[in-house]
Amino acid sequence: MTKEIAVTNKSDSDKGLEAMLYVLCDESIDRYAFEAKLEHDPSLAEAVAEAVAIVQGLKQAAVSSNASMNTKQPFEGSVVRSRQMPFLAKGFVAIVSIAAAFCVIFFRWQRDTVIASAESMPEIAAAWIDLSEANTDLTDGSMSFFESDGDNDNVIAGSGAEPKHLPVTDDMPEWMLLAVTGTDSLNPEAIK
Amino acid sequence: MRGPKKRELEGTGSLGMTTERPLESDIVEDCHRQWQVILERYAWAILRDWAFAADAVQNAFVALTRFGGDVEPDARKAWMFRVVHREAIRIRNAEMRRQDVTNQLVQESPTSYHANPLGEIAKTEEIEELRRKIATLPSEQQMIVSMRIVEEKTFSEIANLLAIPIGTALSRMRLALERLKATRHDEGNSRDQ
Repeated sequence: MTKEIAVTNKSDSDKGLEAMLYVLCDESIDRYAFEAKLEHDPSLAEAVAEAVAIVQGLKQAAVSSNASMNTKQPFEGSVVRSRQMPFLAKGFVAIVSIAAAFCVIFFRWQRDTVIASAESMPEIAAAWIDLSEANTDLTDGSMSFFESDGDNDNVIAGSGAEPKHLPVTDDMPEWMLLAVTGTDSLNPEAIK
Repeated sequence: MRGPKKRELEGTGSLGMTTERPLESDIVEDCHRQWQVILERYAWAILRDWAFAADAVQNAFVALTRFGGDVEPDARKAWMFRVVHREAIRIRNAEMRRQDVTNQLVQESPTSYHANPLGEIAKTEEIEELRRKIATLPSEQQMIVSMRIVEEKTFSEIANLLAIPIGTALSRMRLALERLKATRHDEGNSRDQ
């Protein structure tokens, strides 16, 4: 509203409306001109005070009605939340469980990968090559594998060959006697 | 206010007073009891700040105590309105100079309405009373009052929304204010009796 409201008749109702427009900062009112009038017109000043009372009262009423609505909402919301919380908790637990399962699977897979990669390590390859060479020697009738100075403890099961450095004896080893007799001592009587 | 009293009032500092003419404290107390609220509302309309409004009214009552001795009893209320008006303008100008923000005091945000509750009007009973009064208004007047004061729509917006001329919107507002004012005065008179 750009057109200024002409207030020619200074009746109470006009003053009341003008005062209300001033209080509401209506764009139709020239504030400074109106304030100049206020200084010399106590009835207009009273009308302004009256308008302030109405505006404040209405705003307070609106605020209090909003507040009463807001006080109901948390209660309703809490009911909704109390119903939703178990579902949310279950969802959270499910997500955490799935994540943990994935972590376990991932770490196991990673470990297997490391082991698999370790099997192809050069040492194993070298050992395999050595073993192959030993087999070759055995087929040739040579004992070079066992005669070597290396600390190789590998014994090929069922080959019938024994390393040179191992004690070769016809006596039964004690541990074998103990295992067969099931006794705890090597007492000859007990063995019999 | 007439003759020498007016001259003395207009010539003293911010309130236009130099010579003290004390008013009896009982009378000042009585005036304070009667007019404090309405004067604070009036000061708020100028200052848009309840703390400043209270300051302006306080200063006005100090002035009444010190210089109101010669003011005629019938003229006291008008005298107080004028003093409050001048104090409010002085405070506003000082504050505007201090803050260097020209429109700050006339554009207070709506939140300050409930940040600074106003004494009596903030009471629940009074709010309920106002609600009841507004409920007695014709629906078209209720709508205008609510849209303009609560929803803070301009009259042109209201006129567009309701598809009515601006003059009609204004006249509905005026009629609503008349009725509200009439009921307030009726209740005030019945309370006095």
